[in-house]
Formats: sequence, C-alpha cells, structure tokens
Amino acid sequence: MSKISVTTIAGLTSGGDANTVKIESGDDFVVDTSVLKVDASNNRVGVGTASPTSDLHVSGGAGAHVAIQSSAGSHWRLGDAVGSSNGIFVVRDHTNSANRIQILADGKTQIAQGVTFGSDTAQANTLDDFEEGTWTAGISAASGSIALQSSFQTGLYTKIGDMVYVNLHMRVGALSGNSGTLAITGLPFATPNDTNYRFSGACAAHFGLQNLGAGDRLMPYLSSNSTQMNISNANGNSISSNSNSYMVANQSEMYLTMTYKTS
Amino acid sequence: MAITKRTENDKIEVVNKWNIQIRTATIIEEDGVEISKSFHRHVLQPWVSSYDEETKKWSHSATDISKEDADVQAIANAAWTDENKAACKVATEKNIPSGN
Repeated sequence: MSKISVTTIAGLTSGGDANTVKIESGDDFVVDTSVLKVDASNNRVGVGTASPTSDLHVSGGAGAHVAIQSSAGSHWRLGDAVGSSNGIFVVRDHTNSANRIQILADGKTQIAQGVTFGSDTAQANTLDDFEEGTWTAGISAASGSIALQSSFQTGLYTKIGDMVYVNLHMRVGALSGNSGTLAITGLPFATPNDTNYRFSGACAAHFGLQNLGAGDRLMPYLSSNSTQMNISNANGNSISSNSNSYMVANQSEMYLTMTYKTS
Repeated sequence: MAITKRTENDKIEVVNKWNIQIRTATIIEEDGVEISKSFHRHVLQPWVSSYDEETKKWSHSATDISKEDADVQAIANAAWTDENKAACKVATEKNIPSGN
C-alpha cells in the first residue's frame, strides 16, 4: 500500500499557504526513493536520482531524455541518443522522428539540415556541408600518351557548401607523342550541368615547361558538366590556344588551384 | 591494443543523373573505436570525352568501371541508362573550348 509520510502539512485552508502543499524549509520531498527528489538543503531537484547534482538533474538509462511538448503540435526531446552507449547528446524532433542536432562524445556537433544566419530561411543560403579530403589527378592530351608521376598526382580539396577549392602539385612522369588540348582530370566533384557555370583558376609553371613564349600564361579553366580542367594559354587579351600539350615535357611541374561550384 | 585500417565507400551520389560521385573513407580504429577518418573522392561519368581542335569534333569513349568496387558498379550501371548517357554527351558537347 502506498503511503504519504509527512512531518507537517501547513496552511491547508487559509492564510498565505491556502490550497498549497508545502514542505517546510529544510525538508526534502521524495517520491519512490528516486523517481522525484527535492533536495531542500542544496536547492536541487532530481528526476530519476536521489542525489541530484544540478539545479535540475534528470537521470536514467540509455536514451534518457527530457520532453518538451506544446499544444501547438511540436514535440522535442533533449537527451541521450536512444540506445547509445557513447554519450551522444541529441536534440530530437520527435514529431518528425528526426535528430536535428547531435553533440558527439568528442565534442563535434552535427547539425542535420545546415545553418542559416540571421532571419534567413532560404535553402540556397543554408550552409549545409563542409568536407576536406584528397583527390587523384590524371592528365590527358588530345592525342598521344601522357601520365603523371604517382607521387605528384594527389591533390587536396575543401568543400564549403557547394563551393569546392582544389589544389594540386603535379609532375609529368611519362609522355609520348602528346599533342592537342592538355587537361587535368579526376576532380573530386563535377560541375553543374549548366553552361552558365564556368570557372578559371591559377597555374604556376613551376619547373621544366617548354616552348612558352613571351606573354604566355597558362590558365586552367573548367566547363559545365565536367571533372577536368583544361590548361589554356592566355596570352594578351584572350585565350590564344588550348593546344598546349607541347608545352609539357617529362618531369614538367605545375601548381594548380581552382575554386568552382558543384551541384 | 589492436590498430586496424579499413576503407569503405561511405557516400555514393548520383548527380545530374549520370555523374557518380564517390567518397571513400579511410578509417583507423583502435580496438574497434574510430580514432581517425579521412576522405578521398573521385567522380565517374559515362564517357571519357575529348575535343579535337583540328577536326573540331568531340570523341567519347565509354568509361571503364571494371576496377571500381561492386557497390559503385551497381549504381553506375543503374544510372547510366542509354537515355542518361546520351544526355551526358549532349551536355559535354556544349562545352566547345573558347576560341573555337
């Protein structure tokens, strides 16, 4: 049988404590040992613990959480990832059964749908991706054969939103009879299928190129629906030639950088 | 203490119907707990395309995916329908190099 054990119930019917159940100052309030504990001496409330260590301390097994539900229909849960044993904190949209924010055990924070700033809600202005990694470049000529030295064909990329920054230090490792358009292949992301999107970058002819004339400037450019940078020769006011394979020799080196949009 | 290293294609995306974007994760684990993860990317298109400036024509050769992992091959084979492969050619050929 349940029982209520109290020392004093005060002011039940009149005065300032009318219609109030009051625990006298300094006395604890306990329901079923640890289901609810009001620690009067430390001014703390425990839910699921008889020894609260914070102002409000909620304790439970894996998946312990606090629910915040409004009559308007939203139902949020804050707490431990359900079934997780590695301490992931989750802000969960229980109405839509989706985790919106997760703080991992090592402190990294995952925001599922991205971040907008100020009052902006537009998807186009949502920062929804960041990634770093490597890519393996290739090299091609319109005819003949050409290849990069394996230790000089790994580039880096950083993707922020839909913009990709790539760089590469490349060295030609073999070639034979190459001519025509020179291109660096293997970019980590494709450009959008929209000819409005074309990009140029920077190329530093670092070592061992040949047949560069006065005013010749090598320039990589990237077209739509593409994963390769063509290397053009921008001389004067225009791109004077795309047939630049003759400019590279065995051991030729170039530094390349480009920023471009992906889908 | 056991240190292990493994790779997996943790993200395979089909973009513009025919671009297969593959992210390969290299994962280092200590006693089964991840201590490092790095990414490498590559993209597959149905065709390896080039433009001949002398003849002013494009040429397209089918991309060899025989060395790709089985999961990548399966997705490429599903995405690269005749219709999508033809659309990729059309999209690529819109990119006549400047000055031509």
